[in-house]
Amino acid sequence: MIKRIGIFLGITFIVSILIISQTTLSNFIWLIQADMPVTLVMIVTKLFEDVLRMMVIVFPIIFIVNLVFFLVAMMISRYTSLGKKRAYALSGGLGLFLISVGIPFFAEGIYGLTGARSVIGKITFTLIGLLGGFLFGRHLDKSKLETS
Amino acid sequence: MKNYKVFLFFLVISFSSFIFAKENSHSFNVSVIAEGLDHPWSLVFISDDEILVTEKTGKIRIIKNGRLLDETLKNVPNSLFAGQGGLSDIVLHPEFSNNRTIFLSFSEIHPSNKRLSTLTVVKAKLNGYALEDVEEIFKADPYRTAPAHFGARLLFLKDGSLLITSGDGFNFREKAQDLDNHFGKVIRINDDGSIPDDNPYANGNITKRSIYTYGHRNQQGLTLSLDNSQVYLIEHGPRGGDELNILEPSNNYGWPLITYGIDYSGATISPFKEMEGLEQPIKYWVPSIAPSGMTTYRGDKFPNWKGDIFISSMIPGELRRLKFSKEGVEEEVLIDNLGRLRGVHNSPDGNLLIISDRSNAKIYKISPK
Repeated sequence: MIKRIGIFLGITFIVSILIISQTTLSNFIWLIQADMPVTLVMIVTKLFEDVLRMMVIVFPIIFIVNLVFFLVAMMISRYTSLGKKRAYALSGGLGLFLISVGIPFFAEGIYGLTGARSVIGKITFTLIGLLGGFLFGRHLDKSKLETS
Repeated sequence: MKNYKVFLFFLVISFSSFIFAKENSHSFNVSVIAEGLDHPWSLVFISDDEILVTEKTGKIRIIKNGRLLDETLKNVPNSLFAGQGGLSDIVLHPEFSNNRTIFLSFSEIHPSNKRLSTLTVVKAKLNGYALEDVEEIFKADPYRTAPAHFGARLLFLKDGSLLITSGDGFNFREKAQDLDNHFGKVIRINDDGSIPDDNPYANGNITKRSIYTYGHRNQQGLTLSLDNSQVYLIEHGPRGGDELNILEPSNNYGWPLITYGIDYSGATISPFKEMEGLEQPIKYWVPSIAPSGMTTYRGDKFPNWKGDIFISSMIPGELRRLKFSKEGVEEEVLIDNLGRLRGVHNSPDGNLLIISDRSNAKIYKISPK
């Protein structure tokens, strides 16, 4: 159980880093398109700073959403033949998609995480959620094999 | 012993001078002239003893002879009161005493899509306490998805043209750099809504031709210098990076290519703070003060303040005085105990008026002691 909690926290942390990176990189991509003299060092430095600054905001959001949606995935995988990897991946993807559309819904249209403003941004959020869920589901599958 | 007395004498003189100087620059009373206002945004004097006050909720309140009337102005256009939107600025036509014309800015909902809103400016005749001949003279294009960052401040220039601040709509900050829309722009039009021939982008569509400056975020303070030669603009930055700029036609003020702030989430918007071709502010604030209004003091009751710029701010809620000199900009906080402040205005009798924010708000008068 403790290992499972550790894996859950680890995956939440990875997903948070990916969401933060997506937000920062989307800003840099626009700057590059606008012919600003962006360098790789700049991107890496700011990415590191942003992870440190944004983690306190992003991690709790991802934690709560993953917790709720992974619990749903647990129920789905128990009572359907969907399989853990698929169930958790779909739930993770749906959770992150809902973050991308839910924040503006509850904040009068304002995108708190600006990386989610575009369609590509919403797709990226969803894919990150899918990945997080898939990794967690795969871990559960593995640990089931180990114990059986 | 004699030396000690001389020293004591100069000490007393110096201390007295210090007190006297402080009295000269800070000696003022703050009194309430109206209370119970609901989200007031701006005000204007229509006579020496009559004030019209806009409320974001959509009403225009009347203060007459120092008393807030129950009666409100009639025939005020419908506005969208949501988020940061609502009925916003009110200014008089430069020839108001002859034509009784006023101008209003407000946020307005899309006629067929309730999720969309935009900034609208109308002109109207004031007949008693009612508006007549209400005519739309500007509508920001395109509509926005969030009722935020409307700008909405109005200012007449000495040539009779009207400046309108149009914010970046929060979700559309990158469009502040494009000249095909009104996000993050200062607009210049004539008093009938037509576009002046000497606007900087004469060769373009109607949207582009109305643009005076660009690269702004959410500009909520506009004022002319005492001699009317310069236009000062103040704008909200993100987390940090509120800016005071001097407006010059066609200038690009850089948002969001350069900024002194970061996003509310903590994300880097841009690592650049300055860049060739992009204007630098004459002053910026990190952390943010959330500047909500600005005026140049033009009265005679505070001779030391004449020509200084006063800024109302919402975080934590202050009245700031800025004095320009060859050495730069001196700044002092005059008031910091009245909560969030929404605006600061001159009164015809030489006092200053400040407006507090949100519900049950007040208007305060700053007068000499």
